[in-house]
Amino acid sequence: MQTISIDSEWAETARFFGDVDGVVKAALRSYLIEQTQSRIDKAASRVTAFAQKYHSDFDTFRRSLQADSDFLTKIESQNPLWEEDAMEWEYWLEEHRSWRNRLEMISRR
Amino acid sequence: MAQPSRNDLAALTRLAEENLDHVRVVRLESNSDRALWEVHGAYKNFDIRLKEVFTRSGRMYSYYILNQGEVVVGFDNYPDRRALQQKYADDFKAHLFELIPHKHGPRKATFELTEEMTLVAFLDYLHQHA
Repeated sequence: MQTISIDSEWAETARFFGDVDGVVKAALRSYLIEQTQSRIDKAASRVTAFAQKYHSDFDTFRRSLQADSDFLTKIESQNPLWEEDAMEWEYWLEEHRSWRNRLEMISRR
Repeated sequence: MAQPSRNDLAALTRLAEENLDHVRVVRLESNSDRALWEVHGAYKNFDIRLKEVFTRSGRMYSYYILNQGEVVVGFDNYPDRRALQQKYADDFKAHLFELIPHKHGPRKATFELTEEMTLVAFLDYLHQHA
């Protein structure tokens, strides 16, 4: 548990809406959900962009690159720098997964 | 694994700025769990593409020299089929998630395994070979 100081004017205003602790907790929860959702949306948008570019989900894409030399040749002829995309795709997938977990955690409380 | 801070990524950008022309930061994301850094620049007549991604998989990198959109030389450590087979032959399926440093030659027509590359080492290579 952490103690956070807030301006006394804010506390006075918060009193209009109920118990100050409760109001501040609800406001913070709401803010965190909003910010977390924004991170999820950003990551989801990047993941979708890569999925559309390569007509595949990441796991299939990665598996095909490792198992199918014809697929690798095809991807390379269309996108010679596909490695850049694959690395970033993985980044945004992790980002998406991580923020979704965080949102679930916040929402449960 | 501790991921690079904003300051660490800024140091990478400064290094690029000291060695390349027309440096442009394309992506810059970081938090305590992962980071993403991408910079484009120019050296003589070449386009230079630099990218480092830090995730649970480790440090992935891609440093490429391009001429009119075509690969002249590229270094990365993404484990594709060529890299896996060259390093592990028939046993490659046991190493699918391992990062494998390698080098691509002109138009990616040649391929060889390398030691792990850093931005400093790549810029040295660039100054010596380009």
